[in-house]
Amino acid sequence: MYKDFTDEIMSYPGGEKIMACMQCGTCTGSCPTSHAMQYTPRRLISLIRANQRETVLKSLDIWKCASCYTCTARCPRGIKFTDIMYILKTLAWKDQLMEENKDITAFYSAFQDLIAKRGRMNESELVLKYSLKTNPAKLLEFGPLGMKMVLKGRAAIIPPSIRNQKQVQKILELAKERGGE
Amino acid sequence: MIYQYYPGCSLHASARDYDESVQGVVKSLAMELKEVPDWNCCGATITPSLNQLQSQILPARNLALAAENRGDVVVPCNACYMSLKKIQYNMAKYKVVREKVTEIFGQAGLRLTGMPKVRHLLEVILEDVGLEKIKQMVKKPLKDLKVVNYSGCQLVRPLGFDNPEDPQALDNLMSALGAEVLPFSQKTHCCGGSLITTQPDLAFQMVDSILEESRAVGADMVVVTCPMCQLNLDAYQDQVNRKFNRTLQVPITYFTQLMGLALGLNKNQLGLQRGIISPFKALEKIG
Amino acid sequence: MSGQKIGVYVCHCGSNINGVVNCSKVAEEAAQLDGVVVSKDYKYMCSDPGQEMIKADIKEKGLDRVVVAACSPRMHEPTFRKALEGGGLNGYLLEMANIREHVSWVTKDKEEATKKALALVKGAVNRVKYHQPIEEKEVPVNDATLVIGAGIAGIQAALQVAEAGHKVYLIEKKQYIGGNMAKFDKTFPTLDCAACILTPKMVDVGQNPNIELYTSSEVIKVDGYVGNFTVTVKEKPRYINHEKCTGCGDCATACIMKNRIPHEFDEGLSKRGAAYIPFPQAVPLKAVIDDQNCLLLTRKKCTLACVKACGRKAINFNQHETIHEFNVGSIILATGFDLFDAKRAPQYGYGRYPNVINGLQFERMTNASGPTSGHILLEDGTEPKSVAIIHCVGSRDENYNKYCSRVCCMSSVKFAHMVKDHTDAEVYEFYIDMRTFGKGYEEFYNRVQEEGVHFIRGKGAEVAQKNGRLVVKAEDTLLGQYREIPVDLVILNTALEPRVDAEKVAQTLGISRSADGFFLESHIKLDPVTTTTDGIYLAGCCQSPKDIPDSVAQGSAAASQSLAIIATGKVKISPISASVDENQCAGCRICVGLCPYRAIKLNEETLRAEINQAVCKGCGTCAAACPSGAIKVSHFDNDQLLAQIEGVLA
Repeated sequence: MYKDFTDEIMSYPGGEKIMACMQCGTCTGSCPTSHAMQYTPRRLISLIRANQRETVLKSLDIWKCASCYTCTARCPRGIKFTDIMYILKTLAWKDQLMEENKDITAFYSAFQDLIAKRGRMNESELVLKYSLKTNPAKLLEFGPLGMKMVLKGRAAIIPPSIRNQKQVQKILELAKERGGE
Repeated sequence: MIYQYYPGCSLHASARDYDESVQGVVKSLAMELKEVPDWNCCGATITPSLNQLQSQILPARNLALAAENRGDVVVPCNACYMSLKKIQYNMAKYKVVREKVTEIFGQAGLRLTGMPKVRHLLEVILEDVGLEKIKQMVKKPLKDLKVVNYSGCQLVRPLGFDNPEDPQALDNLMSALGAEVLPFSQKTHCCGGSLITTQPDLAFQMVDSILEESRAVGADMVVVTCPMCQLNLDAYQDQVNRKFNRTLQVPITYFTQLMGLALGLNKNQLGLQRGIISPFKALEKIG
Repeated sequence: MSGQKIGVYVCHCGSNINGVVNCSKVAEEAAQLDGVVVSKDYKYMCSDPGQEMIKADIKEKGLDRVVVAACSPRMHEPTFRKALEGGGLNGYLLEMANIREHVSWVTKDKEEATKKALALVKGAVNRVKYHQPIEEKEVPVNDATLVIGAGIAGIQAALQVAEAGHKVYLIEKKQYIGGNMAKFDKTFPTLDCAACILTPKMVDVGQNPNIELYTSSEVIKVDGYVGNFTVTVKEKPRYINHEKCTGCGDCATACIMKNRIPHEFDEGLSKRGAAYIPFPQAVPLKAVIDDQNCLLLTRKKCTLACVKACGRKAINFNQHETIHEFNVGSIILATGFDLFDAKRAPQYGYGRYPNVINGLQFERMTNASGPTSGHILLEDGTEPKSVAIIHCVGSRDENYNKYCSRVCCMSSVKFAHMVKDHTDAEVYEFYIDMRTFGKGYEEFYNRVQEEGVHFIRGKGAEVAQKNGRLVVKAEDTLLGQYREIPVDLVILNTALEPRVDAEKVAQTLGISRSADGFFLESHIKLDPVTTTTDGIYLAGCCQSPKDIPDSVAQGSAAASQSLAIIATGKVKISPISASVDENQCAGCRICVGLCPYRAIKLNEETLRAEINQAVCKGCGTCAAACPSGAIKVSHFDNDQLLAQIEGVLA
């Protein structure tokens, strides 16, 4: 369906300008987490253009994006690299290519499950689910902070919900059926 | 003026203090906020990482609900603000997004009858009320209070209303309230967002840079506009201190809390007691 | 309109047109049109054989009208008019159909393109039937030249025209000449000092009897047309009598505002008073009184220390603005550039951290007569141990300017050399691509590499302060790693931008600007010096960023354009102009306000509009707006345009 990986990225909103990259590295230089990446943002663009789909989607580097949009704001060629990071993550998730990382998988799926279930987010339940999915011992880590939050009245004891939860479920399902594209 | 209020999930839980102070302040400013009926989570930074179409459809539903009523949509959370603005941008720019959203909506009994304007609460206060009027309304100036203003990311990028590198809105507001605004190069540096849960090592370093500079310039507190930023900087401050061998105790307050104080509202109405790092000692300066 | 003999010539333009438009088919079908007696297609109509073909057909077949379907008339309408004249026909009996820019270059659909080309040809054939012979007017040329801007490009142009024996009015907005180059220390790639090569030229300007120099002056109005411009210049008062002032500087020493105002010439790195000498080599070397800061002029209250100190009684606070009017034959525009304000990119910390400076500030710092007497110093007076130079700040960037500023790679290399030469500091240059394309440039880059400068391929993304020291954040792209490099001094090599008042100047002179904001040349390759207005030429950075060698070359080129029309002694001006039918004019004055050239006046006696034929450029705005249809533009009258529209739609 796609000519190559670049073509695939370009088919998503925000991915279309990837060929304009001049490899100046402004993205990497502006990124608060690039210091911890094996493949820097600029290099990811190179890898995409070299059609190295698996290398890119396997890499946990794409999950290090904090969505701060600094690369997007500063890119001299108008490339929306934060959007490209999102595209890469969704492809890695869909094709289950990402390297095993329980923390990431558990947190993202816990969040997504909660929206599907309740329509709204609630941090206490999210942390609980996340900990149970990864390592229940995490609850000890979150424990003291959780207690403080409860004492300060900053934790919702009764999970929130919305009236037309069915509708939210339906639109999420329909979106999923359409391959998320 | 009537507005539609999209509080976002946090303001009903971990950011109750933000919500409380918002309610107090808007009342003083004679703004009427009506909550968007039956709104859902915007998907934040998580849904767009998992499914492109779901990340469009979630915020789009909120716009469809809001379009049924009158008034601009006012958002206090940076992440929600950006999510809602982004779906608007994408629907305007990409035919394919428009078509898919419309098609799914059709099957779910939803219809987007218009495009309400999405604005951050800070934007609304500055543009619709205005600094001059606010100055006149100040009953208790924040005199001697030294603040650094932390706008965070998604208020100003990529679709924000202020300069993405050196935003002025919060500085102008705080100065108008009488506070001393200190220069702060971390204004729009990232707090780590949701990485704080999955990859704390990365996020803690980011939180530390922000807090450390606030200390170095001598700030009494960091002023924020986003519940996620507040949570990372406030609730995780102890853990960050442990990791970097520091003893920082920097209160992280919402701009609405300080605004409430300046407008003469009671401390307890503004959720100030809910800070993990208590702001009360720092606030003694203004009596 | 019967009995006319029209020839149609369809040009392939190599494959430019024929690659998309089926030219032979267009020619075949055009042959069937009423009045067409010859219809041909040919590879290059503008070539000699192409033109000869038209001439021969006029003579042999008795053509009385010609249609050329080819490129935009901008370039080749004059070519084909000449061909018609060569065949014995009036040049205005030609009509061009633009089937390149309007057809083949804007579509890939061959069938639709051929259809459209044919429609345009039909329109042209219909229109040309109504063409009338028009005689071109010739007017004498005034042999004086106006040069606006006295930087290196303007100086070069002025000297060259003056040395050829012709009068030059040289207008400079600042109080001194030399422009930005006067601020430089060394120049690449040879490192000769800017002053050593510029000062003699500045002195020549001051001494050449053919040059009348007006500093502190601006052109406020330009009337007329090629060969005969009338220019109005406003000269601001300097409050100094130039005849008496010797430039001794006693007033500057006495001024009670001394050392309180940031000095523009030193880019704010030094302070001056309200009375001051711009710089030691200034031409004219006369004192200046800054009316924005002089206490007497702003607050009417001062001890008048300067007046008391001046032994020659040269200070005169009663001076007023003077208006001058000159008649010139041509105008050379050399207004230069503005430097990108680095505060517009807050991520680089300019204006926030004292040791982040721009390139011009660095030039002043290294200049022996500059604020630090040529020493590279930090704000605290010590020498830096490590210096970063960041390329492309504000250039090659969609957020600011998309274009490359062309001089910064080389000036950055020069800065690196200067740091190495003056200090023991390590130097880090952050670049995207090294563009060292000129004569001797790559060799200079090579030399500086070998001097030990660290060239890091990656755009400097941010300047921050960590533990009291500046750090540059960037990706070392050849390493594939994020790096933070601690330095003491950061030089931001910022973009060259159009002058902030470029739009006002363009309007005053009636010329255009390109998308990047610089003044627009006639043809980017073949006519880079003339503007789209006859008799107005461009030189230096006002046309596009360029270095000294290129500015000088363009200054000379502009001078030779001026000298060429002076040598000819007369110029042809376009005979296409508007005229008013007095019987139909209702005197409503709509046209008077609309005319962009101020060519229309209401005759107070007849109460009818009157058009000054010498000033009218035939743009047609008035004719389109006239509610009673009283205005006609020759060569664009209603019969012609309606026939053309009917042809296109047929």
